[in-house]
Amino acid sequence: MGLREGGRIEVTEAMSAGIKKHWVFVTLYVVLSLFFLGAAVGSALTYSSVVKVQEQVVLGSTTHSEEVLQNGTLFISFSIDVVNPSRFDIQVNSVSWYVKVYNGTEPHRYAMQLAEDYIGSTEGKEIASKSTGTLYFTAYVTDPVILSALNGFINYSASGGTVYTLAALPFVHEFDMIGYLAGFEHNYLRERYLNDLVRIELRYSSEDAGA
Amino acid sequence: MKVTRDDIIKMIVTALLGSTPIAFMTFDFMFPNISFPSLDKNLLAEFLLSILIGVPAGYIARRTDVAMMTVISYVALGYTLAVVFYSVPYTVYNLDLVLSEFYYTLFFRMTILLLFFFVLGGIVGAIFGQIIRDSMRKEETRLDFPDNPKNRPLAQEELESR
Repeated sequence: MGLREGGRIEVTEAMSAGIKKHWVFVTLYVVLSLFFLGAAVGSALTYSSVVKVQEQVVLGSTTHSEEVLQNGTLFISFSIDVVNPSRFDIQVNSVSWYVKVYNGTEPHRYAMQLAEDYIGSTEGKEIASKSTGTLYFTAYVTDPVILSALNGFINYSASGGTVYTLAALPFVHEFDMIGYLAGFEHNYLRERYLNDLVRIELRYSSEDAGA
Repeated sequence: MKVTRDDIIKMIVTALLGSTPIAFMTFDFMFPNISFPSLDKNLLAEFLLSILIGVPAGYIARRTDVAMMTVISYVALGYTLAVVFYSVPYTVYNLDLVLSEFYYTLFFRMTILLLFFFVLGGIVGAIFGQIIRDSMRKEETRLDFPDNPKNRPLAQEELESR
């Protein structure tokens, strides 16, 4: 097809004639292209939402209490909220909670670990989308070795002018949670950035929070 | 032979339509766990699909060099689109991007190999497209001129004599 004066009209007409002639082929091609455009846009939006979740999911209000029971056992409880305003459920992979009392000051301080708890992936715990999940932990400190160490710490502090009681020690609660966005593969051995992309890591320390 | 305006228009249209599968496949190769439907980093599937995408380039273009140029154009455009999709969280949603150089380096490192597959598959597809078009034209010509002895179906005796 050559071009002459008014060639644009000729081209347009020739192209429309070509499209009419091969309409099945052209339609299939356009549908294929639009399908992939939709898939790409949808995937990019999902990617954005997944990245956004990293900022959206936060730890909420925390409470902790310590009391000495009648039999001398130290009872410790801790609760923390995981706020998930995103549209994805979070599968809890691991949760760990530690309660410590630090003896001394940095860098020569010694941690007395009083209690700990762990939730693994096998428990199948989930934080549903657009909800707040509350995790609650309790522990009883009954070990006489630990209790005597705490009493020793109290007596030693008293000699330095700081008065503590067993229920009002400078307890430090540490909480770590690793979760994955439900429905997304995250067991890649080589492409670990894919695991990181859908992983949620949350950390709390009452020492950092000043609680 | 001069490239006509018709060739250029066809090339642009084909490049626009062919770029979206390339963009999706590249993005999917980067994030197979969040894209849908995913090819799961299956290079054979990527190659076969790139052959399919190359067919229209050969079918539509009259000339082989234009078909090859079309393949390169849609691969380049599609790859650029994939980079745009990859940037969406930081351009559209204004999220914080840490170490942007590494962010894009990771993308190029993970997907650069695909360009060779896309171009190679596209050229193979364009050749298929040309074969399909030529055979269809031959068929059309034969149907348009049934009286031509060359186009007449051979009689049984003629077949036997051959």
